[in-house]
Amino acid sequence: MKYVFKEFRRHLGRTVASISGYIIATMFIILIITITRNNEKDTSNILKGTGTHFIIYIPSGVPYNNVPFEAACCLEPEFCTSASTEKVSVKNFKNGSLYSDGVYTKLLSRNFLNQIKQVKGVKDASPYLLYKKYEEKYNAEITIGGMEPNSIATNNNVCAPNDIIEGKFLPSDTSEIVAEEAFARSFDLHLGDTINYCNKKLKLVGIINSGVKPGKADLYSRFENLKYILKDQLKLNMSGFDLNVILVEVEDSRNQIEVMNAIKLQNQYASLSSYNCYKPAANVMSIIGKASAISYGIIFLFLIIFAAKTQTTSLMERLREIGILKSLGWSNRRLGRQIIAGSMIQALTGIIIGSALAYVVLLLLKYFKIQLIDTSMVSIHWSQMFFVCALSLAGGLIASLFPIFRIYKLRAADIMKNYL
Amino acid sequence: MNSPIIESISLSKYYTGRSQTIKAVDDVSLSINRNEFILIKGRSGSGKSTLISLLSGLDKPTHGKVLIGNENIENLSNQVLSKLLANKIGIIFQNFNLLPTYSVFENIDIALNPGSNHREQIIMPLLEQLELKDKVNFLPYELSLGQQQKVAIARTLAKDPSIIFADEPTGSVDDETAKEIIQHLLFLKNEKKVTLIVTSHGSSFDDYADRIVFMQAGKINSGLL
Repeated sequence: MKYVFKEFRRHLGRTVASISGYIIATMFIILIITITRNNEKDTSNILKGTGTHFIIYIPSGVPYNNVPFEAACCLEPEFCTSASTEKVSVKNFKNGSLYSDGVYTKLLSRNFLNQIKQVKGVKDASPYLLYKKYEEKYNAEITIGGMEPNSIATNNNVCAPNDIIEGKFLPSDTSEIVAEEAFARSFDLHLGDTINYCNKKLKLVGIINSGVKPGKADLYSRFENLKYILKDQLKLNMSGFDLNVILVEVEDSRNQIEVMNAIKLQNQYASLSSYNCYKPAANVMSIIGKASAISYGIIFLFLIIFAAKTQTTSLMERLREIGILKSLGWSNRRLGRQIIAGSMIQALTGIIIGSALAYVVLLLLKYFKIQLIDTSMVSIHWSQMFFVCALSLAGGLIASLFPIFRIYKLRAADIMKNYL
Repeated sequence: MNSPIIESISLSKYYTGRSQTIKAVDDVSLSINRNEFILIKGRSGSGKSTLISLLSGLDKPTHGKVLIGNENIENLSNQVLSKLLANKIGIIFQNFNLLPTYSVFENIDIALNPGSNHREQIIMPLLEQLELKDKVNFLPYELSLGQQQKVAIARTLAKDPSIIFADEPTGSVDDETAKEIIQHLLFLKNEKKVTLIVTSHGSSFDDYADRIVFMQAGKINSGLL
């Protein structure tokens, strides 16, 4: 070891240059990884939640004699859905009917909703009641949706509080209602106007623009309020059958296809409707993930090449000395140990200083709230820093193998003949 | 009968160039006895230095073999060969081969085994004997050529070898220093019973060698003193 340190002192300029290389490499790798990981995390968080929603319903045309239906949906639609004592067809919008995605639907059970909530990857599942009825006054088939307002599945599949453009969002009063902007404009409705629907007088207290959503309706109300509004049309209070659509939110867009397949496997007659926004989001996330992995690989490769270049240059400068030492009886193993020790000491010194500098830079970025790119503030992860240090050290070790292989191959006379 | 300490059998070293093969050493068979002083003479480029490199194990022959104490050095592992070079064989080069950034003391110190104790007690008397005591902290470039060769000799002596190869040891020094070097080598042969293999293109060693071998174009011509 004495001669390792002596060597450092003798070739101070070369030692400083070599350590500086490690400092710069370590510092930049930590900074690049921290910033790209931060960016990747932020991007992923945005993309993860993109298009992660869909709706489930069962069209009324599918057969009734299937076992899963017993727990999932009502077997006797006339009995379940019609509150009238007369024989009224529930497949008729003139009289009013449960509906979704342009088709008549069956009444679903709370039991089915709970099953969906248990599916792996489902973040939230919420009940939804969607009804369509022809109203003579407006000469139009008007849809109304009843929802649980504090659910992320509702917000992403139907509408959210921040979609409100006038008035308030989903009032608790059963006589108050919110209308879609397009519907309100079509019939020249304004806040405070009264809408006649299912023989009820409903006051318009909010106008909303929910955008393109799978559970979109003309009018919106709270779930329990809609049950009250439709009490003369629908028989909804029997043993948990009180919804016709399940709104689903998935944890990660990359898993949406698996979640949908799992639900389909549970109930093959269920119709799942999504706008497929999750597909490009999942693709982008996959690309980002792969690009990050490749960039880390390239950075590590750069580190090894840099370190190997430094070590090989150092060896070339010392080759004459190595030839002399070999002729004096220094074994390959002893020379190899010297090179590894020298390389590791330089690498370790560079890594410690480089990490410290990177830490200071990251602290300054945090302290002065400097955002290099349009994401959240960078955060320092010790595990990442230790990972980079270990990586740099491994790079230093791998790099020192190149000159060692060379020394093992060369005979003292070859070196002295060629380099003296 | 004195058994050979070093023996070369049909030893050859060829260098293949772009247009021709150079036979630096060609089919040399030589036996060197213990405590013998053998002088290898020849003109520049006759293959003397290459032969020294082959006999000392620094280079690998193209053909033939070198036996040191009946052991074929080609069969020795790097570890064993290094041990041999560190403890039994000393080599003095014409151009000294001192490490330019190491002091006189350090240049000798690196030749000692890492585990050697009393390093100063080994080095300082040698420097005194070679009149270099006051130059102990000097760097090679601060010394004259003669002094540099003396440091190279001290480095070899510090290992207390039983075989010394000296490649043109007086080639770069003045007559006075050459005489001193010859006296040191003779002292080693006579007092320490060292085997000496010396190359020279001059005649300064002729009177002292037990045997003279002439080399020409990589081959041994004849020789007997």
